[in-house]
Amino acid sequence: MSALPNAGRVKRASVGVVLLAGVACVDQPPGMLEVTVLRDSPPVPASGANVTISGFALAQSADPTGKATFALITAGTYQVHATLIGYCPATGSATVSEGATTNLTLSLGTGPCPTDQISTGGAEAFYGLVDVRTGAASPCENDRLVEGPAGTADLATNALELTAGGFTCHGASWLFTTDHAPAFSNNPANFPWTNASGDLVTQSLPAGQLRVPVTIWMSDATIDEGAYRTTMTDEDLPQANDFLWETRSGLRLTSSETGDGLPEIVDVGTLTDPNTGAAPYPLIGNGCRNAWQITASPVIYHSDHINVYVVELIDGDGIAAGRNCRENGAANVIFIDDDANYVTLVHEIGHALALTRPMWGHVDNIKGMYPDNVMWTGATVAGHVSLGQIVRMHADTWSWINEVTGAGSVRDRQFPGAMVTSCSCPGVAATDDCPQVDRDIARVGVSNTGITNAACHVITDVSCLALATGATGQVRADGFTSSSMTTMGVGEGIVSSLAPAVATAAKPALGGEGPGFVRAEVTAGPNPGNTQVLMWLGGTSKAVTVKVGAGVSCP
Amino acid sequence: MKELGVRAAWRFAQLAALVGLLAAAQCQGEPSIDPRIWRMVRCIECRDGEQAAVVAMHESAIPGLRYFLINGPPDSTLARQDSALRAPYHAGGGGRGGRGGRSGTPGFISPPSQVVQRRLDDFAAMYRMRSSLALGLIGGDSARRTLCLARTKQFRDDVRRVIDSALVLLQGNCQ
Repeated sequence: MSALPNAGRVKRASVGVVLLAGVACVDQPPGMLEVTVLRDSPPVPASGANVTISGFALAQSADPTGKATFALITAGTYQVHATLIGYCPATGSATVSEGATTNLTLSLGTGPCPTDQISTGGAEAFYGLVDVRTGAASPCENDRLVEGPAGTADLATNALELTAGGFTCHGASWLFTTDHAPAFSNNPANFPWTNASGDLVTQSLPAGQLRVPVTIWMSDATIDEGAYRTTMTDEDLPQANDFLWETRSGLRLTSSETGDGLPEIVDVGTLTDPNTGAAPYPLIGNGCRNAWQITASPVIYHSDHINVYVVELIDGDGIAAGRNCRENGAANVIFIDDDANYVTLVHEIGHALALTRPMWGHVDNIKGMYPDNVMWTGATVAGHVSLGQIVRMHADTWSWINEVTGAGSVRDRQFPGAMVTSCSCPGVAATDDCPQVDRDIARVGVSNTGITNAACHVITDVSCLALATGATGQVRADGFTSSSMTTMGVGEGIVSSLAPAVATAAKPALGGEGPGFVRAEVTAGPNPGNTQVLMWLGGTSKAVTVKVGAGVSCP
Repeated sequence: MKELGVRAAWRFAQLAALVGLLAAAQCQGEPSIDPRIWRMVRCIECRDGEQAAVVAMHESAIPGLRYFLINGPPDSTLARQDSALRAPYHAGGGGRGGRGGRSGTPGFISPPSQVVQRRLDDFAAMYRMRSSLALGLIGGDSARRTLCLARTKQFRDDVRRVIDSALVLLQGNCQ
């Protein structure tokens, strides 16, 4: 018997047990799965065959008797795969019962294999989402989930030529590995499927993970600098990178775009505000309302980094563990409570990287998402991100790594020409290049039903507001589920001004927000100038130009 | 694969310990706490009305808030957090991911115990601070007495500061 189940399996088992313990005592023992792999005729043990369970990370190698054993399996039905070089893969289903051993026999076929395959050309395990044409009644199939435990995945179907009978299907693939950014191609020439079975299509992987440059700013004089630095260096940052690696996100938090070192930690107390001669704590403050002056102060802000400001208490309702300042026009500005751990850090970086629509990207309101997703409103343990979320973090137009910061974007500088696309909101529909947000490997638990009327399109009653100095005005924003504007869309309403010195924006105490709308009371400052007011509903916004001064007008 | 195996071994041990812990006695003595209070102590951004929902519960929220303030998170919650925080990571360059992570750098290390303990203390402090603030906003004598009871405990300075602030909020004192 192999000593251990795979890492993902144990992790999920562990999580499942403890989750259950939150509502009831747990005394059910897990089950065991014993897989026997055979080859040839008459059958002989397929020693060395690679055996995997759908959705879990680590493979078992069959022993000389052809057996691979997985212990500590939570009761349920699993898809099991066996592969061996020179043989066609085999797949079977096994139902594991609590406290019992389940046996499954898989027989590897000899070539030519009946289905097509996709490969990275290497041996690294991957998950893939592949767009293919099949012989089905609706022949174009997007985002077929495949697993390549040893660098090659069986499509479990015969992928046909993309164009036939005057009809063309989209050809594309996303491949997710631990050590590389997701590999994507939508060039039909890269998918030369034939109508015969046994095709093998190879896609090359990017050179490595995508480095996400991060700077941590210790922004409160009361924080124990030495202890916090040790905690960040020995716990939070390594664990964050570990999570990003294990989930095959293709991301790595680094000090720069060119090196793999951990993010730099800067003690703001050692810096000097050139305007005051003192440490620039007041510039940073305690929350996102200071984002406008943070982003204007190079001494405490790197425009090409995600900037994480660590404070003792974050402004706002309750005692937040973290905040992303996208609502204030700065997706790469994050506030973290010094008591928050790496889960909060990863969660907020997820918001920076496009996990923001709908409902601010919180998966408890998004259909099809599973418990322990790190983007849960109250995530305390980082369990997983979905493959659909990974695509959004890399490729969505809303991801900060696709914003222009200097010559190109963080992503474009590392992977020139990388595809950027507009993923759907609320995410329940796939586009040609972006899967549904909940497209994923198998997860444990019950998925969310989500809400059906999340705001994904926002309009305002005015596009521009002209105010005399000191004057006030109002803006109203309404949310809809789509640009067709037929169904009201809801979401938490937030208003902000990108230049509060010119004009401030706040929700009126009475009637400031309701189902499907938010209002802003805009108050001009004493000096002329221009700003933009952002009107948000659940992570989707509309900007309104505000002009302040004598005699200003809007077009 | 070998690297994942190291982590798997560690998690196997953690799981075994957790199962034992939970099966032994963990659920006994853990109260049933209203989901609205759970959401408030667990939220990250906390801007979706979590605190307001608890405050709107008025006096009925106080037993749950008292539990979290005095005891911190339940043992099963702490055990889960402890397990997550102790997960070993690759020593090569911090995090095992990416270039170098699989190229023969040394094996895994676990976070130092004092670092894990610090994060566990932080985790518990967050429950206590949020509960204190909600009690202060709910107000009344029962909330005041709970805060005063907490004030007699040897909590961290940051927790004590929030307890004091909460007493100011409800315009009470412990005399």
